[in-house]
Amino acid sequence: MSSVTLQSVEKSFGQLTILKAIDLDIEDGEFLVLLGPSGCGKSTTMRMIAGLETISSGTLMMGGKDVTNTHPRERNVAMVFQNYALYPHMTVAENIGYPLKVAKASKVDRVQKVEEAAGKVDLLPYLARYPRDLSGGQRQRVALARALVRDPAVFLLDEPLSNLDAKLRVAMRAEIKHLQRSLGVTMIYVTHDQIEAMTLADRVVLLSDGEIQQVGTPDQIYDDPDNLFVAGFIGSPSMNFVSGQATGGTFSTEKVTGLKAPIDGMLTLGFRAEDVVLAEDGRFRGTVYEVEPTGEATYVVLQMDKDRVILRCDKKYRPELGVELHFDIADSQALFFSAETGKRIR
Amino acid sequence: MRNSTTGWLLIAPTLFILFITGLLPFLYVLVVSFFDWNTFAVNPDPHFSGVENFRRLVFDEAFLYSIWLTLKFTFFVVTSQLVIGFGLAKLLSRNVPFKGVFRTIHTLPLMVAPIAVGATWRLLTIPGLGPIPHFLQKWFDVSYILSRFPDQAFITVVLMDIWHWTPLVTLTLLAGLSNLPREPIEQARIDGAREWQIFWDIILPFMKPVLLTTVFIRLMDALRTVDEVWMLTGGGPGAETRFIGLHIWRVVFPKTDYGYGSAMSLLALYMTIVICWLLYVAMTGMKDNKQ
Repeated sequence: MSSVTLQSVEKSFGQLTILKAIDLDIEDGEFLVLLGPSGCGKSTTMRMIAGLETISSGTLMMGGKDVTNTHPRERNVAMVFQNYALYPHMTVAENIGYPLKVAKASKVDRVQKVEEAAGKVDLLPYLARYPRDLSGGQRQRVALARALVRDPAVFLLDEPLSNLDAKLRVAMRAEIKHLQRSLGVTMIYVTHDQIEAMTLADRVVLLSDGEIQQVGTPDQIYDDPDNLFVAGFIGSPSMNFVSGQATGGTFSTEKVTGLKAPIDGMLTLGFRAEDVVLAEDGRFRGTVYEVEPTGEATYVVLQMDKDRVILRCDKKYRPELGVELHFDIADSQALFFSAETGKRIR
Repeated sequence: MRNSTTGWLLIAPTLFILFITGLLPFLYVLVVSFFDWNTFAVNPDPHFSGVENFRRLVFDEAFLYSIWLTLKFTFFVVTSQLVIGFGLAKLLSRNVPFKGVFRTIHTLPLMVAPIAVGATWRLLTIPGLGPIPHFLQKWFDVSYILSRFPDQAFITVVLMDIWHWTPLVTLTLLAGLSNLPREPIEQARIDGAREWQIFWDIILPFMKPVLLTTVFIRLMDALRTVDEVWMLTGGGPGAETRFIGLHIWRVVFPKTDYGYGSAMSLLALYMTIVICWLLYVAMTGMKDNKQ
């Protein structure tokens, strides 16, 4: 186990910069999730940590040692690929034992360690099978066991759940988290799925366009976003945004009146669907555009001038289309962003 | 029913042509192989002789020697072509300078007809005219005369075949290499494997189908090599490069021993099938048993 530190790590292909000077400290035993939309540079970051991509500039440290130009073999990292990257011509046992085989471990030692690793992920009955005879979830476990078998310093998982069906994904998610906690290993996990990120991570790193947008615990990222991108990316349904003008410390639009604002000027107001309370004397109003029952709640889509917002209401609530509704939010739940830069204004 | 009739009608022309050009000659050779038929003989008409031709084969030293030569030749050319072809394919699959130019030049021999390849090599090796004997004499003081030294003739024939057919191996293996999945190789790198271990444990097993196909194509071709060798050495000196195809040709045409030649052809065909089958079992069977 070991810590990982990225100091102004950059990646570029010729003129094109994929990743802009990233600084990141990953503690020993931490579960860190790299989250972001496709093409944001999260996989590249992980591949640089693994040693599969060269680092254009900056320093990468592992356990206090500079490994910027070290071969993957000497970094002692284990990686699980999105499509598991199993060796199709080897049995499950041979797959799991391959890292030990190339490390020239003795046969007795190998068998023992393979069984130990397979036991951790409930694979013992399948050791003699070939990957093609396994289900997606089982293949996933083989990849995990192969990572577990050699006590790596850092675990890297590149979207390991995205090839599984929805139900299995939820089950495997819990298993991975439990595994990480019980072994106390450092784990870096790449995903584009914000639910995965929120449920798994000790800390989330949200990336976009090759830049870190915010680093924080899932709660921080959700409740206290640094900018419009983070606010909009995290949460389902995503955060509601209403643009307006603040004068004299008060934010107002056609449909919003008398909300306290931190500064004057053009602002974007953000609030979450579940923080809304329907109230006759509410400071917000809008007309019902559509009603979306999901079973556990009813989402009401309101038209507020040019903006459209979503409110989470009681599961039995069914307002008529076109009716004007009033609602309110607590002042502490109203987040303001600069309309110009998208930065949060606190 | 109507559908299947239409289907048969549609492939009928192909079947007809295949019957005329493939099956009919084969059956003809099969029949002739049971006849004593030599137009130079006292009795030039074919007459039934049972398995006499096949019995003669087993004791025919010239025939057995030609088989031995063919096997030796096939072993040397196929293994060399595989090793060199794989090396070149590996090189060309990377980004090396002048890759395109080299690939084009390397592929050129494939486009030359075998008889022209033989003629070219003949010109290169004629004593007093070709550059090879000239420079071997001048630089290494080696007397290089194909019509005199059997080893030189055999090695030259092997080299010519390697020169002619390695590009085919390179091209097919290059296609195989460029279709390799990236992740298992990267995974092996992370697992701590060295480059040669990745090659043995990951790349070779992935390449097995392509390798098998390539070996089969080259093996069957090499076992029936005729034209190049006929042009370069004519099977000589003596019978030292008279491979099975050349030997059969000599028996059937100049000697007009049709029945005996047919029997030889059938045995050569049988030998090819057996070798290919053995090779297939050796390359795939072991793994299958393990499963």
